[in-house]
Amino acid sequence: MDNIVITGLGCMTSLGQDKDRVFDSLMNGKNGINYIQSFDVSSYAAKTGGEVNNFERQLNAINLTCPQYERAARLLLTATREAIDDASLILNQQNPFRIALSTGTTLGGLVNGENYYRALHQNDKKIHPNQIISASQYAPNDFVMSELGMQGMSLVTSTACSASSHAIGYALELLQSDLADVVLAGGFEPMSELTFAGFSILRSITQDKIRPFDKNRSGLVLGEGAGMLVLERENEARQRGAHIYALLAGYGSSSDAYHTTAPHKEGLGAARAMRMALNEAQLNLTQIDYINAHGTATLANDLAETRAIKNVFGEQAYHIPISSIKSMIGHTLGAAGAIEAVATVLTIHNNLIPPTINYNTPDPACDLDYVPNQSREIKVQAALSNSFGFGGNNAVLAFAKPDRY
Amino acid sequence: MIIDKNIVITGCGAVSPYGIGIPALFDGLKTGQSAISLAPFYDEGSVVKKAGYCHDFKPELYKKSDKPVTKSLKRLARGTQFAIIAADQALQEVGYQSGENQGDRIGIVLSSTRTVLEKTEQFYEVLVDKGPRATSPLIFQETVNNASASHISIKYQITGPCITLTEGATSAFSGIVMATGWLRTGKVDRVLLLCAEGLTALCQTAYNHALGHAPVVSNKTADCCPFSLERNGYVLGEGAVAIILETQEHAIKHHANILALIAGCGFAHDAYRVGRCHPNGRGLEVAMKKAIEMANISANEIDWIIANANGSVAGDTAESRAINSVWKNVPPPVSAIKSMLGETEGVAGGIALLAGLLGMKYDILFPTINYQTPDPSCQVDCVPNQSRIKASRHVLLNAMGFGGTCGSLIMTKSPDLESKALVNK
Repeated sequence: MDNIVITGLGCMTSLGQDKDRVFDSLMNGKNGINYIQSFDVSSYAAKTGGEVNNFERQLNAINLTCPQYERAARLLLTATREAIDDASLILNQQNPFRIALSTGTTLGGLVNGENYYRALHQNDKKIHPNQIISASQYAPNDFVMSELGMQGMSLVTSTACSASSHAIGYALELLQSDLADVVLAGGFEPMSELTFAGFSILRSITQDKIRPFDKNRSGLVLGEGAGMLVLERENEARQRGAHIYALLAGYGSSSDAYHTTAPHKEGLGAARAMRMALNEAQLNLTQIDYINAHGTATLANDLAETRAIKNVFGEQAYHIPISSIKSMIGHTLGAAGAIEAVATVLTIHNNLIPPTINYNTPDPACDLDYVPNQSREIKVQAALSNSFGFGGNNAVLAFAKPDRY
Repeated sequence: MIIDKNIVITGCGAVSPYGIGIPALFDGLKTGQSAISLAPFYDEGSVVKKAGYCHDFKPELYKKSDKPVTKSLKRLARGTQFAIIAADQALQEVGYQSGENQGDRIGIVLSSTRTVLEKTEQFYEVLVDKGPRATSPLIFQETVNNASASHISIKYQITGPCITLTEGATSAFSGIVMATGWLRTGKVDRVLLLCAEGLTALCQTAYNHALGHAPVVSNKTADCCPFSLERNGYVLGEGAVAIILETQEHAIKHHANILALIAGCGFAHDAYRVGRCHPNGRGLEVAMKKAIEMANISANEIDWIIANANGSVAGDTAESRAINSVWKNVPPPVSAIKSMLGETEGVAGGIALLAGLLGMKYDILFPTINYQTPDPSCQVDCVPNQSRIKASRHVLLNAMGFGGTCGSLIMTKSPDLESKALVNK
């Protein structure tokens, strides 16, 4: 089986609109959460989120063929362009049919769907067909494929919080079965009142800060953004002299088969997914130097995830730094797997581990090393990135340094 | 680590406007029965009133003893209900019993694009009309696109890998690619491929509003008529399909009925304009060629094509041109079964798989119904109006998404197809 490598990265979050700015901010423990501007939060108890600031103003500089394309598609396009440039990939020197786009999202273009719905109910005559065309799950992908002239496979995965991890795992499959030469794999998620209202009524959103693994954690805060990785087979990447960040060494997936929203209490499904990723990566337990946690700061997830990590690693769990960047950018849902993959790849590349911020009080039930408040400089040879979605849908990615195999 | 193994189909289930189960689907398709009718949720003001709607869908009739299941079904989206019933048929066929600890060796791939829109709309309606505090958490949890997979994993204790693909018409085929990866690397022994979509009035209205941009929605002609000169658009449909995939080796070892082989697939994107297909179907042409190449056969060995064609003015022409580019001489017969069932997007690929299975087993080609005047831009033998007797060894299935994704898949007849299990369900 070929080694699959990451040669380019793109990222947009509340902490920055390119990957270097995002990673620098993460390493400095910056907080990306602020009062939500995208919609009126006055009827909600919780009022904060991690929005990508001033994005629209920047976008006017981009020449788009279809101005009605909405926020999600633009987030995806911007991160994709950054990743392609970062990989020094010249699209028209590639066979266009062999470039694939694999993304994860929960909403797709549905924010335009919200606007359409409101327009319908107000008997608004000015409904533009593009509002509907752009509202589907697949429209942002189709938009990017058309805009960039890519003619290979286009895939959209939508498994809630684990979506873009699966999208990246799918890339592994495409490259190893020779269905593509280059896969742009990642995810995107816009801020949306629909989603905010849903998590609010589930009482998942905290009015406090995001405190993953902390004894006083009280829930998540939503974020938006996009993450994108350029993936290729190692031989071909080296042949074209590409810069290699890391290896995508393994992908594990499982279902809790437990509950439609709550995770399995002992994290058995999550443990299974971690083992599957480790197995595929041929990594043993002592070779993992970092875990990028799902770490949403809900009571349920952080406990289940801690138990899952102990289940897999046993005593070794106490020697592995674990951090949640959701403490800084919030839960970016469909984009989370991809944004966190970008962070994990940069962690391996730079030997720098981002912290879990807002950590004040240890929880006896969550007693592992969560890299509290301060980043750390440590050699990171291999790492896992966890994403556990609604409906018990678990995805885990294993990354390693390029010289690992 | 990747072992070169054939992937085969060993079980299936369906919910369609013709009813619950494969026999109902077969009867409907072979007799050329239109499943498109007035859908009950449209009112006087609706522009589009017809759909491939599953009337008389009564989950309680499916399994009378399974009361807890049918009771809880009612709060799920239509498409999710269909998916559960289809999955049950397929899992029964391969003898899967939950609780026998095989659950971690089964993966689930779900193809579903608009199923949860029903619940999203329900949730959002309350949000807009009454405000956030009046919204329902139980409804919100049904708005995740993987809801159908989640419910099935819980019901049957299936704990293996699980993914939901939402890129529309090609998801069923790209789902098979993922399933193939899991099977060949030994992550699972079987994959449950599920396809599910449900209909809502809002959905239909929305697709109709896109009319200004591309005339793809049928509101004038009596019914949907792919390839006809008179065609002026598609009609939406709904339903669910469940298919069990395994490696041929595993199927033989466990004495499963092999219903067909997956011989090859191909994908491409038009990269043209979102919402429009390329006029010459350039993406589909590439997809078909790639599928034929992967199957390691010549184009002449394809006996039958099950088309994507759904009555779209541009789409049906694009597909015809693409077919004529691949088959320079005489293409095989091309059936547009969406003439009967409507455009079921995420389920269409699944229905095509079942139609291919049934066609190969019974030496029959299903018709393109409502065919009236030939259109010079659609130079294909579309098996007009009546089924035809013909033996098929290789069948090619086409899928074109609304935004430019294209996929083709080739199925090959299994020597096992004398199994009685397929229709006696």
